[in-house]
Amino acid sequence: MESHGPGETLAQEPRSVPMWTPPDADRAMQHFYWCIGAALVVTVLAVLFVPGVDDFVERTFQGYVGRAAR
Amino acid sequence: MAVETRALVARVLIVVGCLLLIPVTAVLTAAVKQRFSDGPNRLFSSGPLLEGELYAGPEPDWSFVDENDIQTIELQLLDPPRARRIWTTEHDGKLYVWSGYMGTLVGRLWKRWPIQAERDGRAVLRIDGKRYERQLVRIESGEILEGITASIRGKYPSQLTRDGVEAGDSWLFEAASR
Repeated sequence: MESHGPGETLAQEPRSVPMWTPPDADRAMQHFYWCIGAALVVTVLAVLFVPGVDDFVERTFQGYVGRAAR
Repeated sequence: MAVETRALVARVLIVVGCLLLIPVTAVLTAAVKQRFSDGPNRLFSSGPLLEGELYAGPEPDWSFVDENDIQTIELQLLDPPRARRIWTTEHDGKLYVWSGYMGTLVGRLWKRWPIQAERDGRAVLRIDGKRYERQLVRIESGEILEGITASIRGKYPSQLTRDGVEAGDSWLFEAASR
C-alpha cells in the first residue's frame, strides 16, 4: 500500500473520457483540411478568373432557388 | 461504443460541412463578383448601370421590345443602386415589368426589388445598350391586368393571370415616364 504525505491528496481530478479515433485519423483529417483549404482557394480563383465558371455557378444556383421559391 | 459512434458522427459532420463550404464559397464569390460589374448576368444583382447612352426625347415606341423578342432587360433602382435582369413586355404602348414568386417566403427573400420599387420607384432600364429613366408604378388590380397578362403569356411560357397579380403572387409594375 502506498503511503501519502501530508501535502498529498487522495481525491483524483475527474478525467474526461478520451475520444476514440482510429489510428492515423487525426493525420488524415489534417490532410483533409489542407485539401479543403486548397479547394476553396481554387474555387474562388476559378469563379473570379476562369471564363464561364461564374455563369455556371449562377445558373446552377438559380435552378435551386427557383425550385425552392415555387 | 457510444463514444466511438459520437466521434464518428462528429467527423462525418465536419467532413460534410467542409465539403459544403466549396459550393457556398463558389456562390458567394460569384455574387460578389457580379456586384462589382456593370450589369447583371442572371440571378445576382450587379452594381449601377453605367454604360450606354442615356435616352432623351419623346416617349419611345415600346413595341420594339416584343417585336425584337427582347426576353430580358436590365433594371436598376436608384435606391438601392443595384441592377437585376428581369422579364418585360409591352401592352397598349406601355412597358411593363413584373416579379413572380412573391407569394412564397423564399420568393420574397429572393425578390426584394419589387418591395424596394414600391417604396421608391425611380429606376433606370437598359435595353439594347440604351438607358431609359423610368418610374415604376405598381398595378395591383383592374381590367388592364387582363390585357397585360395575356401579353405576357403570349411572349413567355408563363401562367401569369389577373387573379395571380391581384392575389399578390406576382407584382406587376408599369415603367412609366419620370
